[in-house]
Amino acid sequence: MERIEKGILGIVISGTIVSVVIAVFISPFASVYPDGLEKVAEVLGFAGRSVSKVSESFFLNPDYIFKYAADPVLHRPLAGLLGVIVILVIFSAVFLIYRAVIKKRKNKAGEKFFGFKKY
Amino acid sequence: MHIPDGFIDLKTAAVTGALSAAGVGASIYGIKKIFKSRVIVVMGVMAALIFALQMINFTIPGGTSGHLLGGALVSCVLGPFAGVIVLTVILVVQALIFMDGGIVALGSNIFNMAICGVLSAYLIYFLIKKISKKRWVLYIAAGIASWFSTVISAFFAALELGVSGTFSTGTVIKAMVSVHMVIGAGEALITTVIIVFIDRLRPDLIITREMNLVVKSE
Repeated sequence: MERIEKGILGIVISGTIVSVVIAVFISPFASVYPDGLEKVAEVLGFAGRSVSKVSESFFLNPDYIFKYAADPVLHRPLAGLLGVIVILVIFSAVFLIYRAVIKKRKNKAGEKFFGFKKY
Repeated sequence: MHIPDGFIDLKTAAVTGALSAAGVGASIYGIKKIFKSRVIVVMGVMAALIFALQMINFTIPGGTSGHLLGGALVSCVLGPFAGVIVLTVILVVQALIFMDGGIVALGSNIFNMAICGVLSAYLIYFLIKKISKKRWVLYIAAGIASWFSTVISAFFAALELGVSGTFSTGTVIKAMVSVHMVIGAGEALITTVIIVFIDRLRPDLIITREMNLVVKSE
């Protein structure tokens, strides 16, 4: 079984904490000005062409607004938190699937050569 | 610079979508050589971090703002294929959950940021790194590469707007590139600070140090 070094847990924990702190506590202080593309679109006059091909109700958090929170102060932080969680879940899934596949392959190899399962 | 739906026409979306699919597919194939538990974990943490940082717009003179793209950050640490994949995941999550960037335009956003941005950054970083193995050269390489990634992503976004007939190509390229040259300075600063931080604390995480253009298997 492929060993993961101990230091990796520290990276996961610290990285997660930093990401959550940024997404939840710093995001409310982000600049409210439109970003570069939006500003160019406004100035040149094509901003109005923006249209959603899908109804807004499809999106859980349109424009980073966690609409299920009663207090508007929580909208952006909770949206950020949700995003961080979703991304970590995706990569956790990849990680677990990868480990399972590797384990299966090693077990199969063990059976072929030694007739018993390798752990 | 997430392009919303309605800014680019269907043919442009289709072409950039196809190019993105090819690029992401190639990256999934290419990452096999370095794909280990440890790399997956670092990719996940970096993805979460960059997603969070992309929410933090900083004000730019002229009534606009910018935010980190992150493509250079990931590719300077984990290589180009990881960079493409991490940015693609972020962009997909942003488009589908947060309505940040269009659904039809998703292929275009992936092409501009996750592919052009990431690969141009990595190429520049790789070429500058060849000058010297010294740490400070690495840091400068990351800074310059990240500036370029912002500008080049903006260039392609503007090109698509022009080709779609949304606005005159020359004008929109000039506007987008000039704004993003300023935003790129922010990107360079943030990226370099983070790279220095990682290099000081866990230099072993920066696997691009041992990489040739395509990584050698360990």
